[in-house]
Amino acid sequence: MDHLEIINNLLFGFEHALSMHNLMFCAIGCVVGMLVGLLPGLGPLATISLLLPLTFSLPPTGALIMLAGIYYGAQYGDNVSAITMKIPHASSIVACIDGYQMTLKGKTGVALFSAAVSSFIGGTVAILVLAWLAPVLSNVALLFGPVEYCALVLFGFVCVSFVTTGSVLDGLAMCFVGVLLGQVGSDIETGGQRFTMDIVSLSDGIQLVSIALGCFGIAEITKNLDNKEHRSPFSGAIKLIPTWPEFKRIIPSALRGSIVGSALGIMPGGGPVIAQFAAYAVDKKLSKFKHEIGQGAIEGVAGQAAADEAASRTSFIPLMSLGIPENAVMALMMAAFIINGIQPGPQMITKHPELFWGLVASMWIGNCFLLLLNLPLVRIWLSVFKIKYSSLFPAILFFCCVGTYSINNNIHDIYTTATFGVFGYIFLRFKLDPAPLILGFILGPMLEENFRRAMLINRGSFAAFVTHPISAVLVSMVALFFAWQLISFFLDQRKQRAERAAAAAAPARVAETPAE
Amino acid sequence: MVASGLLFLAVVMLARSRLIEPAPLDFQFRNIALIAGALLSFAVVSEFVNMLAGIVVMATIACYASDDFSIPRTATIAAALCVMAFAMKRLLGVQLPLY
Repeated sequence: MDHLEIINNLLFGFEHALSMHNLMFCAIGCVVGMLVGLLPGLGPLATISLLLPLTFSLPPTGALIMLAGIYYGAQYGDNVSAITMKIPHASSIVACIDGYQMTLKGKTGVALFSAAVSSFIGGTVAILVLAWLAPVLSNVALLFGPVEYCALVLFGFVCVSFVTTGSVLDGLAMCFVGVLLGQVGSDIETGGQRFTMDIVSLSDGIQLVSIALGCFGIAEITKNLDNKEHRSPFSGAIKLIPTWPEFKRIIPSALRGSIVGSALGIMPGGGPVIAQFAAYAVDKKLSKFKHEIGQGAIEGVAGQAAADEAASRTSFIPLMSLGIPENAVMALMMAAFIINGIQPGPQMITKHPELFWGLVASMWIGNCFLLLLNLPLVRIWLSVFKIKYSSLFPAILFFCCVGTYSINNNIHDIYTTATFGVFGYIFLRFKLDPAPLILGFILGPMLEENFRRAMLINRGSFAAFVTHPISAVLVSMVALFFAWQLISFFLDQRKQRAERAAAAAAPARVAETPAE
Repeated sequence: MVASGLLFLAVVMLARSRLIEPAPLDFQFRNIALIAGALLSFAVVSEFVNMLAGIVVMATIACYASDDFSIPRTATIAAALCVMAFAMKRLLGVQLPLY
């Protein structure tokens, strides 16, 4: 695809994104995203699950523009709460390090300016990558058959499992539970009932919204209530405009972060969290001011903010070109696409160009909205922290109930949500991340369908998984990953045993030494 | 196939648990019981009475989970949620059996 074609397509996208309706949905998405990014205990995952039922009644392009706005808007909001109050959300842990140090030094305004401008740069670079790479990758996706899709889904499971839980075993178990839950209901091929236990409400399967709201919404509310954390709102001075030497330090770091974030956003299991850690590490190696990083350096804020934002945009690439979500938020976005009658994948760009290019263009418009919301209006956003959590959580609970009910106008779905709320809490306490479960639940039917097709085409032989080149590469990467995990586990065990033995031997030696 | 995969993972997890150090489990029953109870009572009351009553019961039980429970605030939250439910029904056209 040449540059002129991309520019032409982007102009076509702006034509759609700049319509009054889509502008409004983009603005709503950014404002809601910013809000959930700021507030602890309500991330983009829970919010997208809450708003998923509402998208039934909205036009598809507008609904998806709004949900995407929530996702990338939350990354902007995350930074504000991390810098001003050291509230670490999942994707703003790194911002807490240098951002909060800058606040302690009285440079809150410069930190917020660096984060907002870097996020804008990161977002812009990522949109260009998205516009260029997604159509190219769609053509590559045409080489994928059922065997390749199966291998890709398995590879995605392994990557997401490792990244979210840190233990591939725990993550994979959650993925498989998700796949199993996805099988409840009617068989996609024969129409027979599976695992319904003769309960009528299970014949259509379990609702994704019930699982998502239970595992993320209800469990998160309970966790926050258990923690009983009280935070006082930020009330310090904010001088936003940096000096010229300070401004010059933002750009190179933001560009480095944009590249790192754009690349890591595309990887299966990747996303904003890994991207910002990687960008921080790159800045620590390459920055001219690397000795200041960790003690309140502009680079410590700028690079990670750009990477965070870039990764959140490029994570749409695998979803829109291959039809494979690479993290839990993208899995929910995939559900939103399907609810609106659009199948993400290689055909999406040709079948729904107005949606694809409109969404890409709206991301840049959203970027401008967010810059406006973050810089001149940041003081207003900080007043959000004056809302007590004890007043907020009943409202979240209410939206969980109404959101679940409004999908099928069925009260019984709320029982399912409550059940998954309890399961979500148990998972949380056992340190099992429910994100792979959601991914397994959404990709389960796709895995099953492609696996059945692969078995039919290859007459029940598994050999195709190692004879097809793309699948062979993916399967061998999974095998290598398992081998690496196994070896590192036993090496860790050996090291710990040696340390324990040394610790046990030390007091014995002291006891043997005669007192002087 | 998936079930046997899970069984295999469970066996490996059990084997792993024999090798690693035990860690304490922090489990507080009160809050999760109250939140799940709030959801269940919302569903039961909505089904047998109406959703407005369900919202009031849910808000009351849920607010009891916070460490600074107060009746006036609970009443205010319940009233605000009822207004929100009316707004959703009238303005967004969400079909809620409010009364």
